[in-house]
Amino acid sequence: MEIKSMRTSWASRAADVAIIAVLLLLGFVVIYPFINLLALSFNDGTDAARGGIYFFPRKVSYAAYGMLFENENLLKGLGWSVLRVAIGTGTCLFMTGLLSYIVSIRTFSGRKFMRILFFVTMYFSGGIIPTYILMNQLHLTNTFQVYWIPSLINAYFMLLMASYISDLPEALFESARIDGAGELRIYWRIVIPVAMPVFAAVSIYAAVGHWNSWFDVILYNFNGKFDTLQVYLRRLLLEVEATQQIRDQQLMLHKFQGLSPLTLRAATTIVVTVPILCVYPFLQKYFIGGITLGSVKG
Amino acid sequence: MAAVWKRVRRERQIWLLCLPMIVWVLMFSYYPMYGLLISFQNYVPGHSMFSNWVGFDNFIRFFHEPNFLQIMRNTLVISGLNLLFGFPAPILLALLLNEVKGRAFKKTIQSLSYIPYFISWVVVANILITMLGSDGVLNDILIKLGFIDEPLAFLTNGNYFWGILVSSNVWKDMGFSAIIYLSAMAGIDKEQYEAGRVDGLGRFGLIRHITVPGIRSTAVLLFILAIGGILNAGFEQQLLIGNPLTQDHYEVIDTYVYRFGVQLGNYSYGTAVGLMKSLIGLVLVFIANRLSKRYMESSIF
Amino acid sequence: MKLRTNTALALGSVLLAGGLLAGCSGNGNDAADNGGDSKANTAANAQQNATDTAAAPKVNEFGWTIPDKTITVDYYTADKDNPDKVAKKLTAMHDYLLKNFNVDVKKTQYDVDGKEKLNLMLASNDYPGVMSAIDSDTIDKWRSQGKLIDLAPLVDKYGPNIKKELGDKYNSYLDADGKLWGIPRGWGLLPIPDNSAHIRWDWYQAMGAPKIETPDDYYNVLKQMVAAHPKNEQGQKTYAISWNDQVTDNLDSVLGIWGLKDGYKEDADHNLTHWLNTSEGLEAVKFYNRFYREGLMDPDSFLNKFDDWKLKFSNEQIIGHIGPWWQSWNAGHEVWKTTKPNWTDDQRYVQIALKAPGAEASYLSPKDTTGWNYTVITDKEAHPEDVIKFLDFEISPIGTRLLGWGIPNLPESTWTYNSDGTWAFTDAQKQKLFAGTFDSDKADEITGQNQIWLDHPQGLMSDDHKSTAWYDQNFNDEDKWKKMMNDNLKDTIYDNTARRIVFTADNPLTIVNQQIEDLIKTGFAKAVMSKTEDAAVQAFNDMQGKAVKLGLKDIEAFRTEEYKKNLAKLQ
Repeated sequence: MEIKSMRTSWASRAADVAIIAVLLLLGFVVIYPFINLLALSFNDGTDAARGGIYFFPRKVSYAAYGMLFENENLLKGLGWSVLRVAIGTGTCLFMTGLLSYIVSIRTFSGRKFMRILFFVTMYFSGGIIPTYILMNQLHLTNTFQVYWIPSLINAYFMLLMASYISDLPEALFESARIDGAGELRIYWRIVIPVAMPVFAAVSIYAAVGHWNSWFDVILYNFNGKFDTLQVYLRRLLLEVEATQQIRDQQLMLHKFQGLSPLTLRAATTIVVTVPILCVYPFLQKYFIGGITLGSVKG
Repeated sequence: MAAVWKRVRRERQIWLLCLPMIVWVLMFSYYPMYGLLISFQNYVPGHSMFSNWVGFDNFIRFFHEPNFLQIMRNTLVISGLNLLFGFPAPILLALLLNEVKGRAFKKTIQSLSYIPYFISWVVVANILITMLGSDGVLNDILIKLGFIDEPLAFLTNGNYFWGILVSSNVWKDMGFSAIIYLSAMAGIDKEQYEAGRVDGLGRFGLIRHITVPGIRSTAVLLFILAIGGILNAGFEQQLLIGNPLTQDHYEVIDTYVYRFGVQLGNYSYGTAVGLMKSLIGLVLVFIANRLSKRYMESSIF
Repeated sequence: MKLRTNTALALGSVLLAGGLLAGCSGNGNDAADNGGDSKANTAANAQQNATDTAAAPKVNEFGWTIPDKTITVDYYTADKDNPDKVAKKLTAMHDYLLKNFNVDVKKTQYDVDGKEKLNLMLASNDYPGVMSAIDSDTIDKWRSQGKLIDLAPLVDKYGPNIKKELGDKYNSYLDADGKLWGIPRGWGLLPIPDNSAHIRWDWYQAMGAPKIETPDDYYNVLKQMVAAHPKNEQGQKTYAISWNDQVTDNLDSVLGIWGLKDGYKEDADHNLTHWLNTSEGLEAVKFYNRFYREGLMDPDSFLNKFDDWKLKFSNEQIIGHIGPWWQSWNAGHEVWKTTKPNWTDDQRYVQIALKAPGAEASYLSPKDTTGWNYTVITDKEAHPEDVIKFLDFEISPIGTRLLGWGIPNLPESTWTYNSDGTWAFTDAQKQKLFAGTFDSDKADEITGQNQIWLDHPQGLMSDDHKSTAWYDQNFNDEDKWKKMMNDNLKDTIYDNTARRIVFTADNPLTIVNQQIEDLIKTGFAKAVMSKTEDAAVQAFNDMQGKAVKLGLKDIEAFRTEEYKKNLAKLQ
């Protein structure tokens, strides 16, 4: 008995070491580009053009960040981004969660209908032109509303959340129903707290999606009033691409002379990435889990 | 009929909640779908979306494209490899993280692992080219270690290129995709582990009998969806990491549609190919769902 | 309309009386104090202008009749660009024009693909009155849906300069019915080279400057240079030649070394043959292949993004290059100047011409004088005649100078302008340009150089046949290195206008053309990177065979036909 447990703990310890080693390696691989970008962003622009910067800046300079924050629009962009993430994630989570609960109610006759109704939208869309015309007709272009109304319900999130909620014991809701609670109340009082891990996970997905999206910004909010932070990043990153259609060499020359330096692009990536990275640790506590369902089961 | 009506009456509270959602989805998702009609037309922006009918011409044209077989091969190989490696990777990562005892370490790795998801492909492509080019770091190390004499053409040889594409994909999405598995693991009743330990289950036994079943329905769901997405083999990374020498290995349906449909202003053609892709994806999902219902007792609907 | 004129007249006479009493001594100083706070002055100024015009039309020092009512030119330009930068660079010129011309020019530019944006505008019927950077395919689409207005009658009435400047070419812009749907921008011939071979000057001098005329000479010199400098300062291997992923777009021009024009060979009857069907094309492939086989070519030639490539260039890892002239400036001495501690003036690249032995001439720089694209007026424009008036000013030599070189008479201005019509370049800025310290980004911001480009030419101006709207290209004879380049390459520039071919979206050959371009991109790279010459020839023949199968002959026939049509039209 004792020998066995000794062996297990030895094997277990070896496994621990192996796991940590693998994760450390992974951690490095995963963080390297970020370190590289950090090093670049703190380097002098002209000096960076010589290449060879991997882990540390060679000639330290804060000019890139200075240049970035000189642009007051950037802070405004940050504001819109944060607002978009907050409102967009909140509303999407509430609506999609509600739908997920509804399609998980085993006795509900429209369950399959609703699932398929939304599921199909994952595969078919009318394309850019009809959607644009719709937004135009609804007067959603050049408004903040376009950031959250069209993304209120996400079919993919619905599947993820419904899969989780379906795994919960039915008795949890039945007893509440017998007590005469309305569905909305059950959703708010029971489903959300119990399904917190999946709500947390999906809210990360939704938040990141809202934070990262830029195409709908430049497409629908073209007047620039609601430009988000991500838009500034894309602008700098895609500048090089924009020159590729030009054939006239004199025009090319002028475009290239006006290109933003590498260091500025790196700094922008950092500025755009860091705020959203903070979302994860914030939501992480809902993951350290093992909610005990025992109490409700009984 | 009366029975149906009775049911609806009994469920009226639920239907009332459904109503705004149905209105929303009809308006924002189904109504614009008239745009799919242009795949049967020769559409010019500004003209009505109900004229210039050409039947199935746009669909047939795709099959007559001289590179059709090559495009299909690339699409299937790349997304097949993505499925083979990209699907289990986040599960493994989640399992590993779940096994870590040190709270701080776990938290740190967990938070770091999803960083690559935020690095745009433009930046990733730049880093890859610097590291994997003929005088990049990787070739440098391999030569110094004596494994090779001449730099390997990681990015200009089509076969290596598939590997690069898939591994960069896995690298980018692994941490982010693991989040949902971590949430599923968080949902597992702690008492089950206690019970397992009492029953004499070792560490791997607990993983096998408790953790894995606990995330099974999530994994099945995502697998079914991945099957439906088998024709989505990526897009941005191909265009950014790809180069003339690997074009015959990277051109997939989406890049093809982008270049020949969107860039050449041929909306109808692009929409037709996209529609075909969606239909195939949907059929595949329904088949996978049916099979999973029968053999795994788990399904999407 | 009538009512408005009357009101203006009445108002004008009242104000005139007041103006006379108050004294209008400030009028003459408009040009002098334009560096001041223009926004605050605008309203007062406009009113002042209204006053004067009512009595007698006031003409400013640029010969522009100041309108009594502000002219608004609100346009979208389909070039993709960063809107923040655009807005920042437009402000100075916008304020200047509003103040001195009473013209309010609003430019909208997005970082969305122009064609896509235009399609959305067309589909949703939501577009502005004036649009620029419109290609002929788009013009066709919009015109056929009745969204554009015919400019010919307006130009007849309000655009004497447009007709004068375009001269004989004017008719070539008209359609079969004599209608004018767009006014060209960036048109004309700027006689500076586009492409060249590049040679590292100090090393070349150290070699004793052997003659370089043919591709073989170039190969030999580069080979010796690599032998003399096998590693750069960081110890990396050097290469005789390299490319970046954009240079394949310039392949057609490179073939000019072998006597082809824009990738096509022309016979006496103006029939065109694609380079894949010529022996010259094969020669070019063999030329590059030899570098590769001998390990003289950067193995990442077809992989390098411009940034990486520039880095290799700046790090002296790449010794030779055939491509756009400015690339070796941008990546060479313009970088070294700031990064190399002991940089000397001759550490740079010089641009030279190459000509294959059998070729009649070297055709490195095709010049399409049509212009990049067009400015159009849509049916949403309320005052098309006002827009034409402004375009008419812009196209005149003085208008081109103002909008091309930017606001004059500021401390940072590149030129000075006097109310008597005489002008001069500012020496300080000129010296900065020669020294390579001229900051064109900053100049754009302060003086608005070329920020509004609706219809002025990039070719030589009609009054002195010397000036061009590109400020930096005005002193090429005074700049030692530019002069050297231009002398070296003067025989490689040719007028390519008649070869302009438009592949419209509804033309089935558009797809074929794209397929062949794709094939060449891959096929050429593979042929060049063949391990033996036989394999290179084989790869070339494969590529040619595939291209013919895709319909290369149809493309040749179509191009020939269009070419002959254009020739007839331009004659």
